[in-house]
Amino acid sequence: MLFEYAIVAGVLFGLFYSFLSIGLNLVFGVQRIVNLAHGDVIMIGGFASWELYYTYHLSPLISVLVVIPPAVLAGYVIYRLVAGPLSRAKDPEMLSLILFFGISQILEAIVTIVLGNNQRSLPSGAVISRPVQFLGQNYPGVWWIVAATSVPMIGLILLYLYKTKLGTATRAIMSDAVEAAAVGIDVRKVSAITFGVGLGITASVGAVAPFMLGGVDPSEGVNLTILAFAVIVIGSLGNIAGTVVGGVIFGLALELTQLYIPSWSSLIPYALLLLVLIVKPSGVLGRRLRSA
Amino acid sequence: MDDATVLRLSEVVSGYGELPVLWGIDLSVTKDETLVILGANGAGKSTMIKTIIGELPLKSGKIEILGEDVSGLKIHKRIDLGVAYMSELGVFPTLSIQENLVLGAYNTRRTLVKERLEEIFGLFPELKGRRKALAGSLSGGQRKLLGVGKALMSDPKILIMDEPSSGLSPLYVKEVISSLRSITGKGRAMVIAEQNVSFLELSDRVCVIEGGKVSFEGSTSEFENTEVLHRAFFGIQG
Repeated sequence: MLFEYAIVAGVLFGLFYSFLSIGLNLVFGVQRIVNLAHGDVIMIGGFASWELYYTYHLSPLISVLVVIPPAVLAGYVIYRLVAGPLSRAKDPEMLSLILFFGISQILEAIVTIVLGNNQRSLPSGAVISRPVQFLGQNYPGVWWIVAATSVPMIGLILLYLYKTKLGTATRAIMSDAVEAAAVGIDVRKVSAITFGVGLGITASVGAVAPFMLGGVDPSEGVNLTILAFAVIVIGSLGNIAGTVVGGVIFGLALELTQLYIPSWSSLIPYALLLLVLIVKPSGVLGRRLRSA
Repeated sequence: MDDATVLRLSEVVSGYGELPVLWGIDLSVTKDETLVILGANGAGKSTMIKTIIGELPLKSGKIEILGEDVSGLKIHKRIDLGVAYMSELGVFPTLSIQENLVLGAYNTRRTLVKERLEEIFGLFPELKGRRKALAGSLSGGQRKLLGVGKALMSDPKILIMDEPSSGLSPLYVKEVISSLRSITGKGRAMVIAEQNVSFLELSDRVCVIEGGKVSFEGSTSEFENTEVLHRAFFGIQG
């Protein structure tokens, strides 16, 4: 029974991890920007959700949507500010790494100054207080609610990418930015919008993340960035659908390790990451294309 | 710029970083004309194509497309004027064949895209049956045909191609030339940078680049009787 419990919990958390990581992969895929402030955006989304709940009694499930527009706008502006220096850089990936490391530190410092460095949590009663019974086991209802929120949010990103003109342009840039410009796509504008969408979805997951992570605190950003990075590498860098697979694999690995060898639970998912890098460096869903 | 001239380069200097590769290129292309730019590896053909479409900035000089000075315009703005560009890669490998073609008509009215798609599938029937397949799963030759189809989707006034024969077997080179022959003229100018002289079959005029400068410009028949051909491609000193 415990095995089934770990599998179900692994899938529920896995969907959450996919939701948590998808923005990072979107941003990386488009401009090869390694957004080291990814976890800090989740953290800010968490604090926004906490504030909206305690000050305006707004359900975190509503905050999932409320935090998106300001984050999209912030992402658009940040991209416009950094895109110029990045495009002129000899090594844009390294510069983005340094730039976003700086932004990450600044965000953490600002939140600490404004809100203090205490962890804050949201009561599960803010969305559902009773447990959910499934296959004879009781699970915290909030896990199901967050997983059920993750699925349509991931679906929205996939719809954006595969069913809209802007999304197709985004995937074209992911494939080859110069080729994309050569069919008439305004690469910088579409990239800025995509960066905004990436930050929007990232802030959005922050609104429900405190339920799965036990709370929100200003220093959690780094760990969340590392977690998200592991998920997108396992799935496949730059492949959005791969993030869903990577998230579920990560969730299952974590839950099964916690069940059978709990003292190893913080190690196994990252060992899995190394294994994937050695066996299939392009990720589980990485595709091999003909070279000619 | 007279009415028939669709592309004009005046005193164009460009290159990578500080180093110029092109040293004062003058060139013009008229409507309906197919110009083949020939040159050995490293002569500056690709640099010229990249400068025309805006991938490389001008160091000095001027480029006009359909009468408009585009010297300071970004790539997508130049494409909007009625230019299509087929790079050596030519396609988006991670997107499907149909998506590649639809993207070729990115700024075309939606109602026209479906019509054009069927036209292109009529021209290249082997792509039609595999429309959902990834472009990256195609062979090199099929990719080139898809690249040509993608470039034609916008019904461009000027079609610019960078080494359409690169990486192709002689058989596929013939197929690409044959498909390009079927679309020459018809109010469309074509500029093809090549080192494969087979493409002279298509050309009305030839421009030879040597050391970043134009060493010959004239009609194809003039070119075939000049020593430039022998010097540039067979290493024979006249």
